Amino acid sequence: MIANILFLLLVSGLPYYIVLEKSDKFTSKSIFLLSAFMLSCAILLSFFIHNQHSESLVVISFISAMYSVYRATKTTNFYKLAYYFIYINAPFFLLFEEQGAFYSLSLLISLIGLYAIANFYEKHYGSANYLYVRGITLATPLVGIHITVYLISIGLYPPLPNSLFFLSYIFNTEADLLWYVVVISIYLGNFLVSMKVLEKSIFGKTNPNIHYVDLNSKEKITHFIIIALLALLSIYGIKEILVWVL
Amino acid sequence: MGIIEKLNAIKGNVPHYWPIGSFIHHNPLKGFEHFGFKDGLNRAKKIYGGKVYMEPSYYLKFYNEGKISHSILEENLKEVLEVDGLAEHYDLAMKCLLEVNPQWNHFRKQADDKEHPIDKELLAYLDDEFSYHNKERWLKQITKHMTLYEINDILFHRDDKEVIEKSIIEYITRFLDEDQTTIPMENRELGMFETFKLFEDFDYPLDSEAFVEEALERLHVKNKERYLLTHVLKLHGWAGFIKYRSEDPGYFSQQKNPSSLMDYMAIRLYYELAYLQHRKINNFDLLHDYSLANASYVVLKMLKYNYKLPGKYIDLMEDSNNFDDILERYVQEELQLDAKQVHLSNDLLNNTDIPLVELAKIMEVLREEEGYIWMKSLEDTYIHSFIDEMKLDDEPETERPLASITMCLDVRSETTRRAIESTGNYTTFGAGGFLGFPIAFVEFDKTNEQLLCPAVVKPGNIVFEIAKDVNDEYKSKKTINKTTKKVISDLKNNPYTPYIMVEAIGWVFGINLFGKTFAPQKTKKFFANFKAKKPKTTYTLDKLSDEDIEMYVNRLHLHLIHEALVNYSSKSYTEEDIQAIRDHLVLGSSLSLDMPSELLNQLKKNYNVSPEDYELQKIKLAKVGFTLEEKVEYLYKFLTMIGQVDNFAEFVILSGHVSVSDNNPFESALDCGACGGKSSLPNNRALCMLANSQEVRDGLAKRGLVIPDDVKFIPSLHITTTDEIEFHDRYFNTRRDEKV
Repeated sequence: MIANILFLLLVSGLPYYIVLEKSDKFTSKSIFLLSAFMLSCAILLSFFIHNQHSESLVVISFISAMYSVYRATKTTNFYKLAYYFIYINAPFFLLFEEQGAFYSLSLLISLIGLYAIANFYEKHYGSANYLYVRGITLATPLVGIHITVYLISIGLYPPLPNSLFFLSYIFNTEADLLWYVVVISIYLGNFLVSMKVLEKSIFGKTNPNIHYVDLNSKEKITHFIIIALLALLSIYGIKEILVWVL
Repeated sequence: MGIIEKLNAIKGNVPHYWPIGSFIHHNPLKGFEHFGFKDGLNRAKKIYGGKVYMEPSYYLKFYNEGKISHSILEENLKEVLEVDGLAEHYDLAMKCLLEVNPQWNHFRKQADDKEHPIDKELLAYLDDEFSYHNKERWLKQITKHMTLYEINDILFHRDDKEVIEKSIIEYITRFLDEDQTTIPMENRELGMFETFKLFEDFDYPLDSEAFVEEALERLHVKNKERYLLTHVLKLHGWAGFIKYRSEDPGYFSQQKNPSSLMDYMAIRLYYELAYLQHRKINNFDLLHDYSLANASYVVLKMLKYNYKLPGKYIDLMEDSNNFDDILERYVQEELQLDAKQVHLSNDLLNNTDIPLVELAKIMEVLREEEGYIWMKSLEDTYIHSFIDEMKLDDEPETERPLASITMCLDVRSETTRRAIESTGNYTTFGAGGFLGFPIAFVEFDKTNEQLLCPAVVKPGNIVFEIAKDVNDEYKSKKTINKTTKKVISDLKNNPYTPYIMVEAIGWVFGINLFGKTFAPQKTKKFFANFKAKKPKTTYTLDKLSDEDIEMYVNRLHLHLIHEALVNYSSKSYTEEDIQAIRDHLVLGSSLSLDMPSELLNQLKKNYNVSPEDYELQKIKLAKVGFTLEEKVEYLYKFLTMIGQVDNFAEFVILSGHVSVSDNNPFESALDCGACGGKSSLPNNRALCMLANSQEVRDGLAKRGLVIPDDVKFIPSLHITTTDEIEFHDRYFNTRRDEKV
């Protein structure tokens, strides 16, 4: 039970960002970094400690996830969005048991990509808020492509790794009422929030008040590494599905 | 001024739209034509928004490449400065145009990073100029072209706009439908607003004008004219079409189902009132009170909606409710940036004489005028160089050209004409695609007529395309295709079969998909084998005699009666019986047969076998073909219009044009605009047929235009997407002719 509570905390099953957001010491960026660090610890730990889900903790994290979905629909800031997604997906980690680690790992990598985009926005446009920087696909298509990849990965679109581990998990577990409620709600939460952000961030006319800047070579390498990691995880995910199919 | 006058006053701003069946380009600035180019464009910009000129950097590139002459630029700049009373600042203005203005936006970015001492007077001027501290004025500017429901959506995170516009579109598309839907809307003959009342079960005794008046009162609209314009511009395509219909007395659908811009306004306002009735703010007075109480919040929300509020302020709005503070921070930053832009420009101009406020004013005027100055200079430079290069050949052409080709006045045809002229002894001519020969054309095996002429012209002659040869193969292939289509359609529409159909024959559709992608030519040829090939055809160009007309109308009625009797009567009737029924219904002769009166009524009402239809059909058939005088007149006008009055080539080719493309919703926009967005081949074929007729040539000769006997008029079709030219009606006499 102690291990389960530890996992609940580490994977952001409790919405502690409510407190952190009120503090002046924590910015959205630092809340994401903290949540991401704790999630990585949970992923590492899950390789050593058996992660057997407790229904009550799944319910707690599910309530927290639903609240985070609501918060995610209210923000247009990539940093905030990135940590809300960690909270939204916490029930999956707890529910998925062994598979949860890989699902969370691919989620974390996609979110690091989103974080890198947020950093880029902050550096060039003064804030990680995407609403003002519309029409990015027309102005700087490469940035648009990266945002699309990260968001469709988070939105559980195949063949990106999140969707593959999610699918593999669906094949390998027995469903009960809680399973149905959590899986369907979180799936829709991820999908709808991602698609809403995708629509508002990359499409539309360019903003004439903005001087658009493209990625520099260092940033391109960073994003290339992130996408390569996602590709590797996808291959592993496909292998997992094939094992089940064959 | 009454509501109708107010609506009439703004009508001019609604872009004109042509009949919905004809995809023709329409000029969105038609309502501004009487203002002159510059003024009209500025007015349109104020109403519609948007950029009307290119960026300065675009023109500067042409200037640096020498495509804009410096002397012409100087001339145009001086002219504009004189009008604006700034002639004394010519040198400064020129430097602004060439050096400062192209960098104006870049200065803002630079201003963000650079510290610069700011002139206080300049700051005060800019504050006043942009109304930063006059929130009421600022808000008026931002919400100038917004409806109340749009403002409500922005302030209270609603989605009424989408629902309202969808409801309006749903109703007007159904009402304005021209036989596209399978289940047409009923009672449309009552008019747009009257039908709407039935559609929405809206119990209102008065007409649309009274309702608009009432709705505007209920919304507490101050400037009614502007609000009507705001509404009209929300769906200006539909508004333009309704305007066109209501102003064209000959538009058939309008006669049948009348509509007006006032009806359209009434429908829009009905939905606005319906959706706003339960909202916190449902009239402009309430909005005004709310805006006064929450001015900063409202301004911030509007700025955010218009993508003018930088991300950091949006973040602040998410985290804090102190909107006055957020707005003030935004205003201060904007003012600093605006002022720094002027300072940086001043530095670049090395200006010490003109005070900064004065400089800001001059630069603002220049930024407004520069687009026009640059564009006019670019055009003037081109016109000058074009005239200089143009050489007029004084020597008359004596050598007879081998062939001449007349193509549409279309940019796509121009290049082909130049290419043809460069290959040898050929002459080319340009003419509007319909060749000044307007026809209503009924294609072979089709029932609808196409008006092959510009939308402003109403053709007075109908031309039918009829088969010359026996068309058994065509008929059999068509029957097979029709049956296949029906089977597929039935399989698709059945609730159970689609599942099996996808598995069983879904892959067949893949052939087309992959074929068109990877081997389009071969796929086209392959599928062409299955299509019914049109037999050789000709056109009905001669007028029908009165006996012929009588015979055709009689035949039509007999056919309709026969069809009705097969469907509704179990009794068998002889041909004589059917003729007697027809004569009874149409000519009023007595009927000795025992026929149920319901069936007779059905024939009158549903099958239109009536004296009125008889007269109508006679009028229609009288329009088929041309009299000899008409034929001679059209050909004479065409030849004199293009200047082909002598030195005729042996082969005179008249080329229409069309485009071929797949999955292109704008396909008809690529066809001939002068033929209502359709192929112009029929006009060309018909005119060639006239020109090859000896009696027409004799008629022309009497008017002094002699076409030699060896001249052959050949119609062709230029496919603009592939630049292929297809020849039609090739009746060559010799092998030499064919080779040529």
